[in-house]
Amino acid sequence: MADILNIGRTALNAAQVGLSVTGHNIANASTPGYSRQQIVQTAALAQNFGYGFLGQGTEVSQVKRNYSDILAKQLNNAETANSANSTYLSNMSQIDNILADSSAGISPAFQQFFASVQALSSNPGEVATRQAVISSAESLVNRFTDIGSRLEDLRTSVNNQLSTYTEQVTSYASQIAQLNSVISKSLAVDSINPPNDLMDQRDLLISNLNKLIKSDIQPQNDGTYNVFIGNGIPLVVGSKPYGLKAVNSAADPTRLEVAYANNITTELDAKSLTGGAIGGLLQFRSNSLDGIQNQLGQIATVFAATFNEQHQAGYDKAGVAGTAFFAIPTPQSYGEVNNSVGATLTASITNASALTASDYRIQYDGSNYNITRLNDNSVQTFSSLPQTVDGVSINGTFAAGDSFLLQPTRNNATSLSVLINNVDKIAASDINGGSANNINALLLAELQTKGTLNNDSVSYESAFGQLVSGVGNKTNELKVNSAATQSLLLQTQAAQQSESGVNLDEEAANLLRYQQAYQAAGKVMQIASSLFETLLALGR
Amino acid sequence: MRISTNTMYQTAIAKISDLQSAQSRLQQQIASEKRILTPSDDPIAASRVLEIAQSKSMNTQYANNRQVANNHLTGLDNSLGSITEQLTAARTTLVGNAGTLSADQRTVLSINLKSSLSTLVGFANAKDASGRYMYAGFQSDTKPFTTTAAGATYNGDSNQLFLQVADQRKMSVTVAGDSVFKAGGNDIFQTYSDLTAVLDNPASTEADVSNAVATALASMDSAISTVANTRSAVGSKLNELGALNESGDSRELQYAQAMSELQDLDYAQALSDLSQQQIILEAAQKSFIQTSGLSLFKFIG
Repeated sequence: MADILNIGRTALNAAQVGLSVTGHNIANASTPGYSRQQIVQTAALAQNFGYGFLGQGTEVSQVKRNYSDILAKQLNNAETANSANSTYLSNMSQIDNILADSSAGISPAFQQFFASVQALSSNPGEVATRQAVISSAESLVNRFTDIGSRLEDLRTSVNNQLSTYTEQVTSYASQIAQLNSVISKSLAVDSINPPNDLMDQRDLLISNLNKLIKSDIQPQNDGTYNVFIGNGIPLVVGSKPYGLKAVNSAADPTRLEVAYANNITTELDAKSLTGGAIGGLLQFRSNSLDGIQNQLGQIATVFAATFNEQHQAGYDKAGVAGTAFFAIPTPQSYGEVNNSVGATLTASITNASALTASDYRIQYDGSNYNITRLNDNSVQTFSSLPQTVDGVSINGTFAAGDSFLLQPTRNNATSLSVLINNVDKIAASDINGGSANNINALLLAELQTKGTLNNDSVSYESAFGQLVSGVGNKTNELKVNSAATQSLLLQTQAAQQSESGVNLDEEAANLLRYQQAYQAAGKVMQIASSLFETLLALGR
Repeated sequence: MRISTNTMYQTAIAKISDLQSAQSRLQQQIASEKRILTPSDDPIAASRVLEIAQSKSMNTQYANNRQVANNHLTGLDNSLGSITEQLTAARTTLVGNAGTLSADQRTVLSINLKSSLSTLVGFANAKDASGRYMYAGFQSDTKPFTTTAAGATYNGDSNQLFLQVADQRKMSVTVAGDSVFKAGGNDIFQTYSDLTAVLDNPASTEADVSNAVATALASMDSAISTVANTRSAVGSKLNELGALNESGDSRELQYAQAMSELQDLDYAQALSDLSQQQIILEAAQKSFIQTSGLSLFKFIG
């Protein structure tokens, strides 16, 4: 009878555990990263009484979480790819939107400006038409400056996002390391029963980490995870976390790059960091933003330079040779942080038509100057300076090992300005003068459709059109890619949830099942008790 | 397949959110009347639109230039007409005064001619609609002819104002004064002065006067033909402008049509898409409410 009571007690106990696990599942049905738990119930070891084995009730051997390494890994991969694409897309869409406004874009401003130059040519003596040239030049410059500064804002935003994301990665790394330590201690005590909820928390951190940067997970025998990013750079080893930091690039102080913060801070190669929001941002910056800003700067520079050249070939109202109409922006350059003291680089634009939309690296190895065009990595080698490469005259003082980054057009759209503010200074005529002399105005007007960029092959507006369609194509491509990774992510999530997610109907059924089991067990105990009563009654 | 409760919600939300963003896009398209909202919607069309907008803007500008050209040329045409009349009248007077002239007749003729000369110089110093001298070449702020004892000196230059009246056409729309009044060394003002000098000189013989009249007639004939030639050139340019205007207008239409095809929204299609999507969205929302309302918990207890 004691046995029956005991069997009833084990059943009651198992049903109770079942109920509380079911309750736990219901409670965590919408907890991110939660894996549903189940009890593993087995029959207790039977006892041989001579006439056969008699069962001893039941026991709960384990509370198990439904978790699949493979599905989790697939989910992490899908998360990291989707996060990279959607970050790239959302940044790119901003450029797409900046260029979308057809009434406020650069194109209408170009058209307005050249219409005013045409009007100048048909009425060169009129103060009003001359004034219109200056004011439409101002508004064209404003358009360039506005779009240029909105692109520059995006660059700043990339820097800010990188700072935030690297801090988050560092924080995730230390949380993972902490959980590693707790989990391994717990497993050292009881290797059969893992701390399920802690493991869920750690897997959620891994998933969040992958949304920021693609990371490689290597589970260890003690239950800890080692986490690596990039080209095998350890982010977490056992209970030891390492961190990431956004630092000013050694080559370009205006650019934050991701660095590995161990004892010393090491700038990581942006190309090695893929996936996640960080990967998406880095790709956006180097594959799109850099080129787009350079292209816009190139158009601004070539426009200013070619218009100036023609303007300076003419003569103003007073018969004085024309002066520069626009201030031509100058190339920017940055010396590498560990350059020798006194290393300098000077660069100026000598032939705007030959300009490209690329940046350049100038390195001196002690005997030769290597000038690398960074968009196609073509190298030109010279034994001395000054040299002119792609329309830019480069000079400077170098010691062996010195390196400079040269950006001939990067910020030129924002630094464009109009120099002529006196209507009489507009050089509409040729050397013969006269208030109806429109010879130079006609030539200025012809610049609108003339091939001026890329070695006189493309007009200003065509170049801008190419920029617009380039942005459109890239954004479109990213939309398609992003939709694909998004739907892959949804599928993978569904598959992972199919294994690990809580289904409330299922839990409701389990509640009923364990409730009934509990009631039945109670009944068993009640009967055992009444049997015992029978025995006691015998003694009265 | 086992479906987790989370997945049920997530799938429904993702679907509804997709439908909503598609709908918001359609609404934006309808509000802006444009098919292309950003370059990424149709990159090729977006850059084509820019090209066409430029062509359209230049076409409009050429039309404005043609208007200016038309003003110049019409002014010239009128002015040259008056000059012809004046010269012809002077010529008629001269022809009518052939033969022997008395001293009084000489005086009257001289007065006539001087008056004609000053009218003619007045014509040569005419201003256009914007108040600039028509016959001064590029020196349109300088009075082109100053009367002297020997006729009138020219202060302008020999340049003509060319306007870009079409893509590949620059048209001269002014005539320099020296090419009208002093063409080929035939200085019409000097002709007048020379003749009046002879007429005013009491010592002039009859032969002197008749020679002078003959010389003047020859010079006037030559001047009349120069002006007539110039005027016919002006006339043919006005005709050409008319033709260019027509082709400009048809281009304008063509550009507008091309722009419309590239970027304008097909309203019928958009509105039908909108109502179709509304139905789908409503269906998705309803089915979500219904399936999410299905819970075993409702029946427990």
